[in-house]
Amino acid sequence: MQVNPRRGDLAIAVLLLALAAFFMWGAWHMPAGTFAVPGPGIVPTILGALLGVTALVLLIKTLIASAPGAGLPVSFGVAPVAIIFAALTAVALAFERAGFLVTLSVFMFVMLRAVSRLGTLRSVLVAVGIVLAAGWFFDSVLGVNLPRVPW
Amino acid sequence: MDIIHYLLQGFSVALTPSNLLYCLIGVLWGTVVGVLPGLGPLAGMSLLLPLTFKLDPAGAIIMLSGIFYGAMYGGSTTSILLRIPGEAASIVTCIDGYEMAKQGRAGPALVIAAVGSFIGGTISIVGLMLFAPPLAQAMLKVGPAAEFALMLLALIVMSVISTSSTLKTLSMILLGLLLATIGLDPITGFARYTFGSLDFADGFSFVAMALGLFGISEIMLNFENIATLKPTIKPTLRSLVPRWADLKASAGPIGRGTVIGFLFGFVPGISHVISTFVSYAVEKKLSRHPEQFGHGAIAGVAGPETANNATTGSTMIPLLVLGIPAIPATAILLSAMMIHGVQPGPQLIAEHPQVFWGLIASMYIGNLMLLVLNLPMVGIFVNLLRIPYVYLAPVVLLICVVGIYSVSARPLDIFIMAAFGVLGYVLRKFDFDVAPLLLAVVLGDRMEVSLRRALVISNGDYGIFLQGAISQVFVGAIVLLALLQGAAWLFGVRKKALREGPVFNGVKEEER
Repeated sequence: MQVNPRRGDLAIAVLLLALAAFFMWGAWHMPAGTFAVPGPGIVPTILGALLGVTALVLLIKTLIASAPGAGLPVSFGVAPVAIIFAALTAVALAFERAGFLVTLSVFMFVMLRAVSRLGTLRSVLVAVGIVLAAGWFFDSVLGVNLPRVPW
Repeated sequence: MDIIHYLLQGFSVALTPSNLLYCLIGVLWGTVVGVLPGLGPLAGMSLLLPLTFKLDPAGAIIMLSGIFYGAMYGGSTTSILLRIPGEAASIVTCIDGYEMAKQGRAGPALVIAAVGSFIGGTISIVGLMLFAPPLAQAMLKVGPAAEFALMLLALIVMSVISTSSTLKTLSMILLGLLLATIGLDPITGFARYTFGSLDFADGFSFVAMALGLFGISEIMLNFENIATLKPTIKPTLRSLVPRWADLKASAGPIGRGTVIGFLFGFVPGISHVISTFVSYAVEKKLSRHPEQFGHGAIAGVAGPETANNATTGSTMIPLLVLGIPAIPATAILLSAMMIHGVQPGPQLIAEHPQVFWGLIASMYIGNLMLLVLNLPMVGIFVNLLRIPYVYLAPVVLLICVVGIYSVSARPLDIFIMAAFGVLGYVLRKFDFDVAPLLLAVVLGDRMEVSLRRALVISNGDYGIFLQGAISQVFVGAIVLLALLQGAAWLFGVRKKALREGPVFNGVKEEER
């Protein structure tokens, strides 16, 4: 996917504005104290306001500085990014429920199938092999407490 | 005499079999991540950080700093042999290093790079050893107001020298400072942005953020350009011996590179990268044959390679003495130290002499290990590039998952790592430098504490930030930088050259 850098900058500026608004909204519900004796809310309020101003300047500067088609388009590898994010999110959800052996074996299998040319059987064997080796190294050698199969 | 006494104590720590092993693992892993274009010292340190939790503080710091300076050595190998910088600080080495390799002189280029790295790294450690203790003594007298001003100065310097536009860098710094406010308020204990969840009481895990912003996003970026490299130039041991003329031509650049690298190590941001460009420019300016630069001038390898290693010692000084990480890699070290209950800062040398002096001694040993190991093993390191990235990346992801889970046994951190990976990927795509974001997260908490403590001490009088010579110097520097930046903005001076960076093989080398 190709994205115009101007659009990218605009999108990030809007995201930063939203984040600034979120932090300022959150700070609104905190004890502010005074400028002389600041409470927990004053620093996030000031920083949120500064981020908001910075994002606004970035937004305006991007809008007026370049023509809509200016700049080389930025290529986005949407598929690999989506696969990695989805796979890691699934690992986060399943890690303690299914145990590290099952979760990471499935994760490795999915990653290998997604990015390499290995067939299904080879991907399964490689995935399980790597996870068993990693499990032995981290769990037995380094003493890292990884979640076991709960059943 | 005191220094020698303490240094001997440091060697007694560093020379224990376990610490020697950790040092060896660190420098070898550092060289590997330096060689592999997809991984830099930051990703390398982030990946091994969770694995150091079982070690004692000295062993953990020795191993992680070994990765840091080991990567500086490793980066030159692929620059010289393949014209692909394994690490951002080795970009300049590509220019003359690869030309030398094409002329059949890869061996001398590798040797001079290694020797220069060794000399620069070692002298830099001497500087660290000499400057850190007196500076720490001086910093003990610094109050929270000056501390706040110093941290603010560090962030402003970073916004000035960052590779992305000042506005973008500023927004990253502010976002980082805001992210640092998540969790319990450090003064009152009030829960901020936790939504009642205990999972966020300590804020976002720094390790998860670092791994996401640098490790995961790097893998995502690399997946777009998957190509297994096939090294064609393989230097033999015999071909490594440099000529007398090479040594003579390298002596001056190595000396100057050491000074340049050491001085630039104090500058927050990307000092190790900038020092190489400055060193190259200085050597070209001073050379009697500037026309040879770009066509295999050995001074173009010796100077920059020395400079990037000479930053490693001096960049540790702000971390160890002030507790302020000048670059993202030392932010990882800071995180490691704090996880192990070691607070970097003026008290470090007095409270944890075994860590400080053990680290210094291990850096001497590590540099020697790198010099001895790197040259005979250059063929092995180059062959690492043959590992297809499609197999390497899933394994690195797996290590990230296990590593981040081992920090605090929270699956939530895996999700945070993934989310920051996507954020880092998008930001880097549009030239937002993510290093200032990470440094702001590290400094944010302490900046707020310093600010509020200073105001408590002064009964709310903001004049406290202008009291005392140290505060005045820091505030003066902030004002000066702001004025310079304002003038540059008014007159349209842009950081275009630095931002665009050199182009190799038609591909812009991303700052790592």
